[in-house]
Amino acid sequence: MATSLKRITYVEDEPDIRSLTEFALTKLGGFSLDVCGSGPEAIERTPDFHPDLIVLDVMMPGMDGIETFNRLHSIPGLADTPVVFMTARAMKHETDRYRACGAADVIEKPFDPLSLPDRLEAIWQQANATRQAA
Amino acid sequence: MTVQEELRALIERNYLKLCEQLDAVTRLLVERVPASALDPASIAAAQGLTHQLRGAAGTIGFGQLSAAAAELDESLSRLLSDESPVAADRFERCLGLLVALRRIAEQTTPAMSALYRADLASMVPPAQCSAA
Repeated sequence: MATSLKRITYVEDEPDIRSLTEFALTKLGGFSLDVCGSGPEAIERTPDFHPDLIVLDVMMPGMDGIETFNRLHSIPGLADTPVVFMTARAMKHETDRYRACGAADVIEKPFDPLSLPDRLEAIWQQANATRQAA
Repeated sequence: MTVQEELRALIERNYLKLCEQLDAVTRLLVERVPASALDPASIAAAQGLTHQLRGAAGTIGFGQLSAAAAELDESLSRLLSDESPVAADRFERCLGLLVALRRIAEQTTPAMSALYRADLASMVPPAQCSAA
């Protein structure tokens, strides 16, 4: 098992947020990133990318983040991959719902792209520690 | 181009896209008056675009623009959920918020983004410090 976060699948339909996040995660975080513009694109590509972490926008047209999450976690090899949701709808009952679905964490939009790499690394380390303790 | 310059170019491109989105919202809400401005489909489309603008502006570091977009986003959402047909007085309030949002956008420049002013020197991994 890797000791630091290296590979991230990032799913976001909004191009402006996507480009900025991609910049932050690759140029500042130094991560290897697979950027997907929709849930179906993520389902097609993620099994071959073998990410350490999946970052999913919740509100996407067509297949939303929750459905994408469920479909990804039903794919052999991805069932244990930690998932982080990003959402503008981050009332407590909503974030509780995402965590109940199995999300490792929830990041509220708008977020600070510059601190995102460190934030994702911390979430991933925490998720790993939890899995190892289980 | 350094990573800092790359980020600034990205913010400038995204700023122009936000302005285009705002123009599209304006067309949906204003330029079709009176024939279909009170059409729920146009308002729903405008609300969707405003919601995107709100999130993108906040993430890019235009806090004031994002806050003004949030007000319009929420007013349009209420307009869609509360009444059928759309109430003219509430719609007028949304138009007022749109005018305020446009005014803020006109006063905003890419250099006003918190990210534009951020110093990336200490944040970039060593391998990427040199020109990309």
